[in-house]
Order: sequence, then C-alpha cells, then structure tokens
Amino acid sequence: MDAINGLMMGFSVLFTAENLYFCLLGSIVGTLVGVLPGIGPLAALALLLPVTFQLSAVAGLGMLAAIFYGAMYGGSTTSILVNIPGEAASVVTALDGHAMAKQGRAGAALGMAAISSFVAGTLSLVALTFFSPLLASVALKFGPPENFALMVLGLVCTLYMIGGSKIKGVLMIALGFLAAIVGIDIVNGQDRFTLGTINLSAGIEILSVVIGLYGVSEILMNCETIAKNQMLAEKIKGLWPTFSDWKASWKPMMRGSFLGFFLGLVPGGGPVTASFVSYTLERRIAKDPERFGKGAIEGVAGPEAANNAAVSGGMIPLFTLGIPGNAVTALLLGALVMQGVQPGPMFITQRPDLFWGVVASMYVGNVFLLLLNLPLVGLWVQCLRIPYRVLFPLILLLSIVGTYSANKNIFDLWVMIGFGVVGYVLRKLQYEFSPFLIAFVLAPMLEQSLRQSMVMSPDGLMIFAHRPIAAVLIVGSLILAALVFRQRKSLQPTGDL
Amino acid sequence: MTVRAMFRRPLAMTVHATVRRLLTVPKRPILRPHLFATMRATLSVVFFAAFSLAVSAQPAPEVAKLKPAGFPDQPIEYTVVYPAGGGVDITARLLAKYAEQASGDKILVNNRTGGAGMVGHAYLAKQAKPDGYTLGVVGNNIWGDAMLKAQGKWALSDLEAIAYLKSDSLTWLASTTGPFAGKTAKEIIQVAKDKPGTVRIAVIPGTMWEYLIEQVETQTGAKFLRVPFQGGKPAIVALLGGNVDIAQGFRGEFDSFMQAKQVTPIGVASATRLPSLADVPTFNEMYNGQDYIWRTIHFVVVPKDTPADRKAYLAATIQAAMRNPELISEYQKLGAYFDQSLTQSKALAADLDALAQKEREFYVKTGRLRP
Amino acid sequence: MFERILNVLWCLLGLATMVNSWSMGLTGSFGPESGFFPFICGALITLCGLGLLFKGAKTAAPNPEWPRAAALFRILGVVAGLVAMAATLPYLGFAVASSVTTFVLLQTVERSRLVESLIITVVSVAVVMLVFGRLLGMNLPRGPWGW
Repeated sequence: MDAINGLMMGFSVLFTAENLYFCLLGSIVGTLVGVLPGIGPLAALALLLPVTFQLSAVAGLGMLAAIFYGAMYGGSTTSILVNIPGEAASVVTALDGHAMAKQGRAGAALGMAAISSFVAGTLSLVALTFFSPLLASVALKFGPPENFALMVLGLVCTLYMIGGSKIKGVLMIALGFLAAIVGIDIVNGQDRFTLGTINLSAGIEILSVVIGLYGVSEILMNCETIAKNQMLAEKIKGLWPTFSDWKASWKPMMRGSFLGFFLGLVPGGGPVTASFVSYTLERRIAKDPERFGKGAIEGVAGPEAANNAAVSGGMIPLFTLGIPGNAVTALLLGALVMQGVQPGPMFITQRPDLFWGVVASMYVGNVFLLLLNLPLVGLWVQCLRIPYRVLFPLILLLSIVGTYSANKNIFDLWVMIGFGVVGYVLRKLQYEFSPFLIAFVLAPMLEQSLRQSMVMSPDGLMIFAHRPIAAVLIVGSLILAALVFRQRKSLQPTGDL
Repeated sequence: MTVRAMFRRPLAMTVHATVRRLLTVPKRPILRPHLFATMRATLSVVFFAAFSLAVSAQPAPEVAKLKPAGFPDQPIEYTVVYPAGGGVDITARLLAKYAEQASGDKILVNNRTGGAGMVGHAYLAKQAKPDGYTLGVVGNNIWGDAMLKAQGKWALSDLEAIAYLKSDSLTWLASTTGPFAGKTAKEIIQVAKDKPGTVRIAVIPGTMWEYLIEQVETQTGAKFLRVPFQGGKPAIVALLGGNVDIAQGFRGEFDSFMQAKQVTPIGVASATRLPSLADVPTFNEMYNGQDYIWRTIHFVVVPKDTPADRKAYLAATIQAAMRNPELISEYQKLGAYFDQSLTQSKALAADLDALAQKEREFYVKTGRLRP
Repeated sequence: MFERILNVLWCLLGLATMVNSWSMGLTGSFGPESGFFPFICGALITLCGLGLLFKGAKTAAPNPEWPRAAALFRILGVVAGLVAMAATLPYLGFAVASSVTTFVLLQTVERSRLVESLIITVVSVAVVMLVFGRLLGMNLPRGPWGW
C-alpha cells in the first residue's frame, strides 16, 4: 500500500471520538510528565500501560506515543525556567534557554522550543511516512562496529561542549564512563564496582544523575544567592520570539530535525544523544560561538528539534522490524503485543489500519501539542514572577518524587543527594556536567559494541577499516577531534589547557 | 502589580492576587480553570473506570470458595523482574488481566528491574513480606541466578512455586539469505568444526544460550565464535544484518521474522519435536542425546512462609485464569507451549525443584559449581 | 587549596579503579574482558588528576566563592532536609515525611512566617500527591497509618 493511500486510511481510522480523545489525553499527560522534573515518559508509559488494554489499538498506541513525544515538548519548560531539566533530553536546552530566561526572554525561548518541536515532529513524520521501508534497511546495516563508530562520534561531540578547562572536561568524560560501568557487566555477568550491594548491582539510575547533578545542585546554588522575595526574572521582555529569533532559528531547526531523525533511527541513538549532537553542531557552525551558553536561541531551537525528530526515528525500527531501540519503544512493543499484534517485518502489511492510524495520530498529536504548549507559554512565564521561596519547596518535592518514580527505590534518592552535593562543589570549581552526562549515556552501548566488534573481528581493530560505514564515521570523528583543538586555540588566546 | 507591592501585602493576598492574575491575564487564550477541572475529572474517571472494570467482574466459583476472610484488602502485586514491555512482563500482564476476571481482585503489575533480574529476585526472596500480597512471575533463569550469582544472599528455598504458566524452547536460527541459507544445523556445525572460530553465533553469556553452545561444542568438537548480546531481538537484528551466522531465540521473539521468511529455525532444544515446528529437528535427535533440553519456563512464586490459605487462594486464581481459553490462545500467539508434565502436576513445587536439580547437575558437571 | 585536595582525590580514585579493573582481567579469550574499559577510564582519571595538579595555576577556578555564614547555613539546611526526607520516607510515608521536612526547611532555612510556611507546605505536598498519586496513579510510600 503506498504511502499517500495509507495515510488517508490512517486518518479515516483515526477520526473517531475515542481515538482522538486519547491522542489528546496522551499529549496532555506527556507534556505534564515532561514538565515535571525527574519523571519521564518511560515511567508514565509503564504506569499507563494497563489503561490501554481496555482501549482500541489505535487509541492505546496513539496515547502512548503521544506521551513519548509530548514529553519532548514539555521537557524544555523547567530547563528554561529554572535550569532544572525536565528530561535527560532537555539538559542541553537549559544551557541557553535558562540564560535567555534570566534576560527576560523566557517567552521567546519557550515559544521557539515548542515550535521547533512541532516542525521537527512533523517533518520527521513525513520522512517516516514515505521512507520507512528504506530506512529499515539502514537500521539493519548498523552492526556492532557501526554502533561503536557512532558512539565515538557522539563522544567527540562532547569535546565541543567543554567551554573551560579541557583537562577537567576529559576528566568528567572518564568519570561519566566509570559511573555508567558501575553494575553488572552484561557480557559476562560480573559485578563491577558494586561494593557488594545489590542496589549498585542495578547500576546508577540516570534520573538520579540528571536531577542530582543539575537539579539539586541548582537549588543549592540558588539557596546561596537568591534573596527572600526575589523572583527568577525581574522583567519579562515579550512573550513571543522576535523576527531576528526566527531568522536565526529556522536553519538550526531544519538541521536538528534531520540529525535527530537519523540519530533516533540507529540503535544506540535516541533523543538524548540527538540533542547533544545538535547543540554541538550549531555551536561548531555558528559564526560567533561565544554567544552559546549566554542566550543563543540556536541552542534552544536545534536541540529541541533534534529530540523530537529522534522520537519518530525511533519508531521506524519498531514498526518495520519489530525491534525496539530503547526502553520506551520496548514498552510500545509490549503494548502492541498486548493488543494481540505481533510487530515484525509483516506488521505494516498485515495491519495497515493500525500502523497508519498510529502515524496519523502522531501528526495530529503534534498539532495538539503545539496548540497546547503555545498558550501555556504565557502561564509558565508568569511562574517566574512567583517568589522563589514559594516555588522552591514544590520544585524540590517534585524532583524527589520524580527520581523515586524510576525504580521506587529509596537508594536512588541517596544517589541523587550525593550527586547534588558533589555537583554543587564541582560547579563552584568550574567543572562542567554535560561531558559527564553524555559519557554516562553513551558508555554502555560504546563498551558493548567495542567488545562485540573485537570478538567478531579476525584482525582486531582493523575491523573498523573493513566496514565502510564504520570507517567513515571514525574518520569523521578523528577529523572533528582534531578540529576541536584548532578551534579551542583560536577561542582562547591564553592557551589555557 | 509591581514587585514592591508584592513586598508590602501579606502573603495570602499576594498569593490570591497572583493566582487570579495567572488565570485572568492572558492576551492569548489560556485554559480556563473550569476546563482544567473537567479534564482532571475525565482523567480520574477514565482511570477509575479502567481499573474498576476488572473489579466488577464475577469471580469464578472454585476460586471464591477458597477466598480467605478479609483477604485481599489491597491490590495484589505481581512482581516482574524485567523491564515493562518485555516477554516476562507481557506474560505477567496477560495473566493479571485474566486473574482479575477470575477472582474479582485488583492486581497491579510492578516491574522491579535491575542487574538482569538480580535486584528483583533478591527482593522477592528476602524483602517482600510473606503476606500474600506479593508474588513473582519468574522464569527458570532464577535457578541459575540462585545457584551461581546469589552468593549466599538468597536461595531458591526462600521462594515457593505455586503455579506453572508456560514454556518456550530455545531454538537456533539461520538467515534465509547469506552464506548459510538453506543449510541444516548439522551442516553448519560441521563447518564450525572444519574451520573453527569462523562461524559466528550469538550468545547471552551466563545463560542457557551459552550452555547449549557448550554442549554442542563438546559433543562435536566444533568451535564457534561467540558474539555476546543482551537479548534475543538484538541477536536477530545482527543475524539479519549479516553480523552473526546463527542466532538463538524463543518462538515469541522470532515468530514474526519467520513468517516474513527472513529467518528459519534449524534446531530446537526440546525433548521431542514441537508440534508447531514439526519439521525442525531437535538436538536430541541430531546427537542421540537426552540432555539438549533448554527452555524458559514461566511460573509464579511466593515468598516462603506465606500463609497456606492465601497461597491456595492465589494458586487457584491463577489456575482458573490458565484454564481460560482466551489466555491460552494469547500465550500460544506468543509462541509458548504448555508442558503437560507441569500443567498436570500434582506437586508443582517438587517437580520444578527436580528440574532445578538437573540444572544444578549440569553446573557441577561443567565445573561452574562445586558439588 | 581545596582544589589541590580534589585533584589528589581524583588521582587516588583513578589508581583505585585501575587496580580494581586489573583484578577483573583486561583481556580474555573472547576479546576485552570486564576490566578493559574501566582500566582505561582509571588511567584517564589518574592522568587528568596529575595534569590538574601540575597545571594548578592555570586550571583552577579563579576565586571560587564558597558560601559563608547565612548562605552556608541555608545550603547545609537544604541538604539536611533532603537527607532527612530520604531517611524517613520508608517509615513515615510520603505525606508526613515531606510535610515535616518542607515545614522545617521553610521555618529554619528560609525563615518564613509561620502561616506562610504552613500554607506553602500544605499546598506543595497536596499538589505533588495529587499529580503523582491520583493523576499518574503512582503508589507513593505510605506510613504505618496507611497514607
């Protein structure tokens, strides 16, 4: 069935009261879950999975998918407003988004985030509509060597995020790897660095890291400096992006969509990686990269587009092959199975009504989310005028519960507090966290791919030379890495290492 | 309202004014308060309806008569030690759906993940209260976990099996394209013997995947190149992408690919040929053996010391669910089969224990465990 | 001074990691073993620590402003509050643990007025319980009194 006919059928399947209602409901819950720090789409999907059993397949799947990409819309909200990421995929948005908020331009940042998300979401859906089968074979081409090369590329991107001392940046990357290693070695089942406790056997929960390192440390920093009745932004300079904002943002939006889509498609990618790589790209391409970190709107538009596009990208292996790329799509797979569908290579041909119905619901969901988030910008901006001492208990409690929601384990809270205190100290000493976080996210797949590649390869590291895609990616990484040193020299005449 | 004015007025008025401002200022439409309330009400209604739907069903009579007084007064938790959406999770959720219908009780499926199941298993064995409100839907890899990895922190004797769900046999798969297309298992294993280390096979280290390979290698002198993976699906992806030559998996994982004619099963590790895969030889056949039996068995456990009446009630609930033809067909769609020796078993815990002992013997024989 | 101690700590951490990973084995018959990756990380950490120690002047943060007096008190207070909450959560249940912690924090750390503290506490805790408990259907920890 060709794409246009399929899509027409999908819309006709979608336009029933039940399907539309649950698509809308999913969008709302997704936004809510994205805004709340800590709790993410994974937890919300796990909680609401049973609800979908009573619903029709399109309604249930549509709702769950809407929660997933809705969270990418809402996640930027707290990042921009209070510098506490709502999602791991929105950590990067906080860098420039919050700087803009402090300058009174929160409205522009929030608005641009919503619009980038919408544009990217829709564009990536168009790609999904027309190119799914083709792209499925791309996903299959990524074996262990290609995955490793991609992770290396992602890692090199973090070098670009290091603004200050490079040694400290590399140190943070190594620490990020180490933190990710804590737990059970999946290849041979051995405990690594778990200090004998079962809690650490499970590894360190990423939410604890994100909320602790960014959220709790931010709260501690604010406790120090914010006076009693101070608000987060004294003046609000308009609620809408200006014309120059648009001019600056539309290209990052496009690039972010493209990049995010492919990074969502390949195994080991995902919205978090996509947002980081997009930020790096924008910073590298910009004519005046010093603006980044101080309120450059490209630093909001690009990553927000990337994380939304990555969601659609991640759906492709799920629908065309029945292979989930991450924990959230694994849940969607489970939901499909519970509906009596076995996703696999035959899914689209066997159940075109369901596939196209869900795709149609994703188009409509993006529209709902845009209509939902834009008016909310006004509401959120007013929140900045609430005295901090009223806001902060709420933020603190939400962060705690959000972190707890991941595994219902008190241990995660202790980890969060630990990272919060350490994060506070490190911030004082001008260490940056982004390299730590991206290393933490990439490490498991990186190590696994490396070991698999080494096992598969008859001649050690040369396997990367034999595989074209992997070779290209590695050469690209090496070039980028070399360029980092060149650019840094020109950025910092003091030659500060 | 200026900042200074906010300073001067007492808090209550400030808050009131702020809230009013929040809700009435907009130059663009904002969701009105009453709309919010309606939406929240709808949400609550939906959730409530979704959850109470099951509770209002009529419990089956043989279950109702075993119901202890006053039990349950809170939802019963089915613990799953793997992430939501996975095979065991789906098994548990399907079971919960039909068990709710059979008993009229509310059941919640809870995922306690981490450490490839270690965290959840330890929780069930040592931390869960033996009051009948917690039970675990587990697979037989809990035996390996207890014997090889628990390091004395918990043991199989801390848990008691109360119901058997289903089984799925480990199967070897080859791609329908590529150098080994159309070959039988014996032919491929012969290649692995003639050219050791060239045939790549997917393995999940520390699991029955590895044990089966070991058995074949010991029997035939073949030598495979074992590429480690985390699960069945990634291995199948690798097979399709030409990164491994043989993948291993369970029917539930490879069924859709088999139907799409992208993979084909070449050997099954079961006692006799499976009716659903009648033309696929078993390893027992191929090598005239009896030990090439590897399958997942899903069953339900409770912490030991759970009161006998509650245990009997829970067991009856699950057995009633397992008799429901809808659940049986759902499980069959997942590729499972029902081992008759376990469905008809009169002493399930003892039978499963016997199987666990056989696995223990294997570990001792292969030097993984001291006797 | 503080930074120098930290840099030494990094070196120690790196060395400990390297030793630990060595004992896990670096390479085996099937390629890199468990210890391979952590060993490299440990080496990197140690090297960076040494680099920071030697380049001390250039890499150190210029005048980190450590909090004094009132600010320090506030920060320690918040940390203590978080710790108290994590410690009491399993025993007192979410509602009570968070209310008490929030109230105490507001009274001592923020020095808010009594009525204000009460209102903020009640509203915050209620909102969180509503959103997570009701809307999202999560089971927040309960105390011995069932809620």
